[in-house]
Amino acid sequence: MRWTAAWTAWICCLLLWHSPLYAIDTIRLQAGHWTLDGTVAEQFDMSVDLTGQGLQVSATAEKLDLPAPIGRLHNVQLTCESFLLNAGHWQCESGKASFRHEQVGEQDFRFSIKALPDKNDYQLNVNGLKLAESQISLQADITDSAWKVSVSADSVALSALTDWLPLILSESQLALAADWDYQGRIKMDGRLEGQADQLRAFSLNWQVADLSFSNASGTQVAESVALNGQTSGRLQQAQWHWQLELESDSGQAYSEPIFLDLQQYPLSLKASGQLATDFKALKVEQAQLEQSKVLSADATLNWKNDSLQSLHIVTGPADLSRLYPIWLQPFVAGSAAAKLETSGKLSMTFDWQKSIYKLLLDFNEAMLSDKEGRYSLQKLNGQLGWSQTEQPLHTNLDWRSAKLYEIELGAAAIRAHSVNSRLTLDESLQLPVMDGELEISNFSLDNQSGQLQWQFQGLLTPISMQSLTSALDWPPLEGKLSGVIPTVTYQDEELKIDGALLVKVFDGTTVIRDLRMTAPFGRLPQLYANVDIRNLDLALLTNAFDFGRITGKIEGHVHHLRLSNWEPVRFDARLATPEEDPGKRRISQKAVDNLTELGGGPTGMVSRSFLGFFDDFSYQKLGLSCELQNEVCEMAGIGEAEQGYYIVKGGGGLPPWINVIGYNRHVNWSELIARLLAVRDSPGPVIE
Amino acid sequence: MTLFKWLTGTVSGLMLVSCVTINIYFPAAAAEKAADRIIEDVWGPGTRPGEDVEPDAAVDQSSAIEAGDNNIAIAILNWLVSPAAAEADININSPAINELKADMKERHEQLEPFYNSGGIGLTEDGFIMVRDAKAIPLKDRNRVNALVTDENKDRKSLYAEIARGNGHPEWEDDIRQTFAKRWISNAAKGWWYQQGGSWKQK
Repeated sequence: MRWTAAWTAWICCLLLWHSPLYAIDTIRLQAGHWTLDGTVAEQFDMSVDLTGQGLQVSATAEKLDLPAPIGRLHNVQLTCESFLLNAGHWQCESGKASFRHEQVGEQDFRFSIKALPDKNDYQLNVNGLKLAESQISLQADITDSAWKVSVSADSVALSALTDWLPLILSESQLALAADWDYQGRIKMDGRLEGQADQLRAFSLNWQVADLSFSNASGTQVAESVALNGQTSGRLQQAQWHWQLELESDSGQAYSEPIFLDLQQYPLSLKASGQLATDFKALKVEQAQLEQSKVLSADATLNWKNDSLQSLHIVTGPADLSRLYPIWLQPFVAGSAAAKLETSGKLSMTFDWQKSIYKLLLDFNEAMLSDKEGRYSLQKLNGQLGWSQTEQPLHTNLDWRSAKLYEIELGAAAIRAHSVNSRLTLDESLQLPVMDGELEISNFSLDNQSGQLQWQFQGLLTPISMQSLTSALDWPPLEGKLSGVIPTVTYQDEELKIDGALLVKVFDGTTVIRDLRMTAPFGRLPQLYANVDIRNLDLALLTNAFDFGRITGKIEGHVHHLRLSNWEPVRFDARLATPEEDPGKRRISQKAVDNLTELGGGPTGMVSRSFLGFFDDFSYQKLGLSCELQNEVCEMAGIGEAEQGYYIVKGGGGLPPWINVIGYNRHVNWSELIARLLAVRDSPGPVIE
Repeated sequence: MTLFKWLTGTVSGLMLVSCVTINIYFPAAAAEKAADRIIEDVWGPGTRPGEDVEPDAAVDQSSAIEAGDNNIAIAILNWLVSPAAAEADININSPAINELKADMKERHEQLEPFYNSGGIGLTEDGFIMVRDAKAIPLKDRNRVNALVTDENKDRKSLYAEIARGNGHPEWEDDIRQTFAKRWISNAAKGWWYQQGGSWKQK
């Protein structure tokens, strides 16, 4: 609007001398200092000559102070080669003007004016203005009731606009603009319409080439972007009704954390809406974003008093394999979803109002697979709803198969609803786990404090230990794992299982309690547990591990167990013959040899002596303990012996009896594991 | 004789107290050595262990008791107790730590150009961060952001694991602070690090 005032003043200046002229050859007017309506001229010199073509008018001034925003012009020269003056109108068909201005530099341009002063109607053409390294031409038609201006610029240098900014921006806006580096060239054609100092409508077509910009922190950046756009607006009832179209197919842009390669995936945006004249309220009635081959989204938005009031986004089915790396992955860095392989389709509806939102994701034949192999979901279909509002959103999801670490989970379906940042299962979930099943009931998940937490109650129907141990690549075990789990909770990155898991193996029971995991999907999952072992049948156990036959019972514990990244790093373990009901106790030559080896003694001693004639021996008690810490296992047996400890104490049945004594008390854990593996893999002693 | 009994009684009493003190205190010298070993494994031998940013800041904090020349009793105590202090080693050999180290070493190959360009720098608290996003090409921004996040997760896990593995989970902060100094100390010339809240270049 200030521009309109400026132009009016400028035209007035051109017209100043149309008033009284008389039939003489030359009129000359000189003034050292001349003031009129806020316009001040220094060393003003004007002459009007009568020539064969008509009147020739020329004027010069050393300084000309025009109303803001134009300000001071230096060395002003104005010539009109053919000035026609008729009753009621005058015109300058061909004029030239030049001046120097602090911001817009040296200007030398041609103009023509047609004026009907009685009707206050002026038509102005300007060609050859040079602004921001661009040739600019404009046509203006100004009447009392309205004005129209057409502008075209062939190549405005954005960087050169910096000098102009003080003309149109306030100081605080200037300070904001100073944080940005920008360059590029704009070709522009536009029409502006208005009345007095009020712009009422505009329509601009523009092409930006080689657009690069960046804010100081580098969070909003464009590099070598080509952008075509059309913008138009019309003022109605103190509101701008605007339309915008943008498209770009080259360059790169980054708006933290989204990176867009516009060449690879061209982008187009069509939007329309309203903007209050004081810029305090913006309404986007419809916006359509198309990212070629990746995403199509429709949005509406409401912005008022410097804050977002509402936002509604609907995206069409998008190819997850392209959508995830561009639009999802950057937001989940460092989380369990940070490195996924994806396929299938995803559509989304997002509704944000007054800081709370509703989100509905719709999966279609989706596959999500963690690149670090922690989990995967195949053939995921259905909706997942998350509502922070009172209004519930339903979840109806199913999948064909899933995997948690190496544990296969079968097909399952979830029916749930979400309300107030909480998701609750509507019916219990039957989750096949290998050859058993985990029934999950009373599941609820909430994110109310911004910290994800969930809990459920579970019933684990027997899983065969054979499949579990083979999946986990553990030594094979026979038996079943089952349990009633009163509560499983996940809070503060800790997964806690109340109650106990019962493993029925080797005719005895193993109870796992106090089971908890910290950072289960983190970098180093930590698992803590206490394990109690009761009444294992040694014959079955030693047979399973090919350790050499031992009969009898064994009991013990593994307390303070900690697995770091699934490797044991700390425990107090002890296995020994029980005091009560120890069973019939015999130990074979091979087992004696193997136990001797574990205790750090030489192998083959039995077979080389006369004891080699006996297949097995009776024993009174056997046992071994290991306290693992700092990679070292502190070993002990069932009692102190001279310079060592008893692993097997002979006795009970008929002689010969045999004692196995361990001497190594500190054993490197990896060495012990190596020995155990060697025992498992060894062919056993040869009896001759 | 009484004097001898009194002396031995007092000295052993003091020793007892001193032993307790040493067990409570964090073995900073051992931790520094452990940190240097890990850093050399992760960054490779190209970095320069031992070159300190601030020689003053590298004062050994391992001893719980300062041995003043003018305090003979404490000097004797230090001598008596030193074997106990030497035993307070930091063990950094566990499968979890080795795996973390291997991952960090592999990641370092990707991070190194950005240490060199000043895109990322070492923080005072033992982590890394994007220092100057403009020094990172646009297309690499998110990759580097993710690498930085992963690296910091690994570093946090490493500090916690060393503390836990040595039976003192409460040492995590001390370990982290020790590492913070050693990462900076070992950093190559031209890399950026934080000091007193502002960035400096080695």
